[in-house]
Amino acid sequence: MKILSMALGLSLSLSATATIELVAVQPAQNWRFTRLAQEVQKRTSLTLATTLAVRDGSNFSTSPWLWVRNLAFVADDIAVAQWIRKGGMLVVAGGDAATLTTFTARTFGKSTGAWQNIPLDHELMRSFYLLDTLPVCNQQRWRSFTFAARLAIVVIPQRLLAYLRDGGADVPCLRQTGREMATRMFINLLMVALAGDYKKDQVHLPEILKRLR
Amino acid sequence: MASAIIVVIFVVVIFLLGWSWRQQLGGRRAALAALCRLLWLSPLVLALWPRLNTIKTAAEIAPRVLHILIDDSDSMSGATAVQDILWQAEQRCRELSCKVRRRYLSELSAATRRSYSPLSLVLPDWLAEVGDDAWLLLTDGGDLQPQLGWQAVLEVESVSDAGMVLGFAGEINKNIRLAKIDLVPLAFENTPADVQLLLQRTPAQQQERVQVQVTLDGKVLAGHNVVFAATMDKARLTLPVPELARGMHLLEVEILPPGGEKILWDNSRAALLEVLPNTVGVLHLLGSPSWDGSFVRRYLKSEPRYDLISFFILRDPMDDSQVDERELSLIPFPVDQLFGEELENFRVIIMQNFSLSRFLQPQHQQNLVDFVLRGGALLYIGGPRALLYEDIITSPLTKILQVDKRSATLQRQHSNWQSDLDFKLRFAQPTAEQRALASIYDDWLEMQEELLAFAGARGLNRLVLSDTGYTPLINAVDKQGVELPLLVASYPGKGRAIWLFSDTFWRLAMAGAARYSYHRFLQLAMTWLLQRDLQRPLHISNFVLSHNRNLDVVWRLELQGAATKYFALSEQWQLQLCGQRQDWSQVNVATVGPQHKTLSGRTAVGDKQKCRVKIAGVDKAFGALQAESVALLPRLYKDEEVGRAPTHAEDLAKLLRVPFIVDHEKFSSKLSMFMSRHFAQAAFAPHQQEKTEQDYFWILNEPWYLLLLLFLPAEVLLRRWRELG
Repeated sequence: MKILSMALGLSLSLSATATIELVAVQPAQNWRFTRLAQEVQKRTSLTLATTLAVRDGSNFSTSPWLWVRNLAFVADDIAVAQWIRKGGMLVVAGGDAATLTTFTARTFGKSTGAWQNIPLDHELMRSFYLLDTLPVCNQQRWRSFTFAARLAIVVIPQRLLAYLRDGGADVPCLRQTGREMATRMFINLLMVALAGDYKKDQVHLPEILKRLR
Repeated sequence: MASAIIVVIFVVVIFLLGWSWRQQLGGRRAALAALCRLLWLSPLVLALWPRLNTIKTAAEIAPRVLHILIDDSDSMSGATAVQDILWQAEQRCRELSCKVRRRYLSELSAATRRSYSPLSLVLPDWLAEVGDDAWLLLTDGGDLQPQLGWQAVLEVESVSDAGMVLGFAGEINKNIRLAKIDLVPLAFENTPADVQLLLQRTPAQQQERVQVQVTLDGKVLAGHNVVFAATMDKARLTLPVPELARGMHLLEVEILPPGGEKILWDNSRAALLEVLPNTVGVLHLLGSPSWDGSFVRRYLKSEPRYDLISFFILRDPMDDSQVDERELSLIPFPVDQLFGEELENFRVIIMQNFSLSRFLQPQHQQNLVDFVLRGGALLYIGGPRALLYEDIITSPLTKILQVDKRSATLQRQHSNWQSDLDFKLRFAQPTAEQRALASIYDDWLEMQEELLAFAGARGLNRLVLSDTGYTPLINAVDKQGVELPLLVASYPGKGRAIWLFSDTFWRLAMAGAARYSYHRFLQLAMTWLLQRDLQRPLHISNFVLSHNRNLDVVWRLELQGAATKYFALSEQWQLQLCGQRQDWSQVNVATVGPQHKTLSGRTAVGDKQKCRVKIAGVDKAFGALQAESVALLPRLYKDEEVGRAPTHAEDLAKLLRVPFIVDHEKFSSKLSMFMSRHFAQAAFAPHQQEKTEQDYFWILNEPWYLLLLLFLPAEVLLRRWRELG
């Protein structure tokens, strides 16, 4: 894409983009992300809202994604499962993967969907930046729940948003990773949420074209 | 009326009585005595107005029933445990106050006397009779049409899960069976299909080699040797089936019987494979990752018939990723190849939030527009980066989308995108001629309930289109009630295009009761765009041939697709079955849904083992259509040929999701547990009935009735006052 853009010699203002909202549940209501939004806009074709859209257990269901620390925000976990089935993506940052595993087994059934530690060849590792690794925290790894061939739940062992917000304090396990790497991880996650496994199409391109001819 | 007359008579009689006492008691005491008489007799009069009481009564105590179906076919003759089980069931039922209702296979079908096990013929009706009660099935799994499969004869949803299958295995004979066959029922031209097989054997002792073949009309398509390792009872195999011609094919998979194997019915199975025209190439261009793009992509990826290539703008030219390019995953995209040489190999292009003039070279822009004009399909979805001034005024796109250039909203400096514009959907009013060209309008009309209820739509490319050249489908209505074009269809050159001037429809997936509405919405759009490629408005599924209780051949199929709603038992429609045209008077039709019917009937197939069905229809709405399928007539096996087939009984139990016990030493304990679970708590059905009856003595239940009775001694006192004095 970069090569294409350079070849065209474009120097146009493309500021008109849809703004992507960060949606989370209380109590993270006063957080702002001015710096993160600037970074996202500077580096990608996306525009990120600078404020956090706050939801609660009763009005989250129309949001396409939701950042939470755990599932305590909603009394009825069936509602969360239905929301995921419809297309919602749950990002659990600084939460407990074991609880989520129980939740998916109960609401999706053991044979539906699959949990895994995010492998090195996962789309999250190359959706925008090429990442070598994802930081481990207290021996907890990044985990993903794949449902209907898409990333439906991702469990991040660190409190990534708390670290990336304006004036965010040092967060355990992210201090060593650093703000730049945390920003890259966030952008990759954003790209997966919005573009899925888009990169895989490119890998299969020659084969698909051969089939179409 | 009668009651009122009686009251009047009563009052008059009391009055006359009081009048007669006037001489003896004096006027005042006579009146008081008469009043007392009136009051204490009044309950008798009030009985003329009975109350209606609803009472609940334990009308009859109905003991719960344990239904037992006993397979008494020839192969079960040595199963002595059957009597023990029946005795135990009776005993436990006595303790638990339930009732055993036995039925024998031979009672229910005369085929048993002809040395068949008619389990599959009897089971559907017997399970219907069982209803929600508990049931036991005692069988060795033998059946006269074992290759048919239980799912072909049973409607699992309506079967009580309070059941158990007790299986009877005989001595272990050498047997190899084709336990499972997995084949994706759709394949594409010039593409091999894979059949995955699971083979099982008994006993599992020495290493053994068997040959497996896939045949089509007697011709061997693929073959492979399978080796069971020593002590292994299972073997898996994936067999590639070579490319087949377009159409419906019934593949037969068979394990060639090794020496010494007596039970052969389970060595073969058939599977249907439909070969479709080649997959449909879809090119998805996205100006910037977005939720709407994400949902469109999910839909496209969920349809196996689409070969999807995506081209997303992840980074703008002026963006600075602050890293060495090697740290980015942005690999070069073969733009020249895709937009030059390969474009004609796609059938549909989806441009979403994408500016032609800013992202593609002029020649590539022209190629895209030529693609549509030459017969390609275009789905254009709006957004903040879509339909920029240059796109709609100077780029080649103007050849296929005519915007009113006098429109006030058209300004070079300002985008026509209004991100905060909230709107509702309203179906446009195309003329009959326009509507005939764009049948998608009628397809979406069927979804109008969901679409009109869609709340939360926001963001619109506010455009004024020129007067002609398109069909308005759905409009956006803003808060002031102004209608703006939202969805239009056009037919540039030989192609088709749908223009959606918003990026809001992903919200339909999140807002509705299910993602289904959103997928349906896109599916209808794609089907209209690709009508020539994916024309399957009529298709047949679940075509099954089997035998009925009289061992006649019966058939059943499901007819689905958009054209099904026009299906009628008329001359416009023809049914050909096993080479013979069928008379509609011999066909039963049941409507399952607006685009779903079930057809069934009886037929004579003669000696044919394979039977092809064709349904053809002619209607003004769709022209001429035909659908076909093919099925095998399951061979009838005598009981001795099938023998004891506990695995077949196990398949039945799995399908019905009930326990299966084959080890007869466990029968007793499992049966006891089963009965305790289903009968211990409430052996009697709590049958209550409500009864409404007239209560003439209702006043006796009222406390003030006693007060009225006090007027009896009062009357006596008044009348005898002088004598007491």
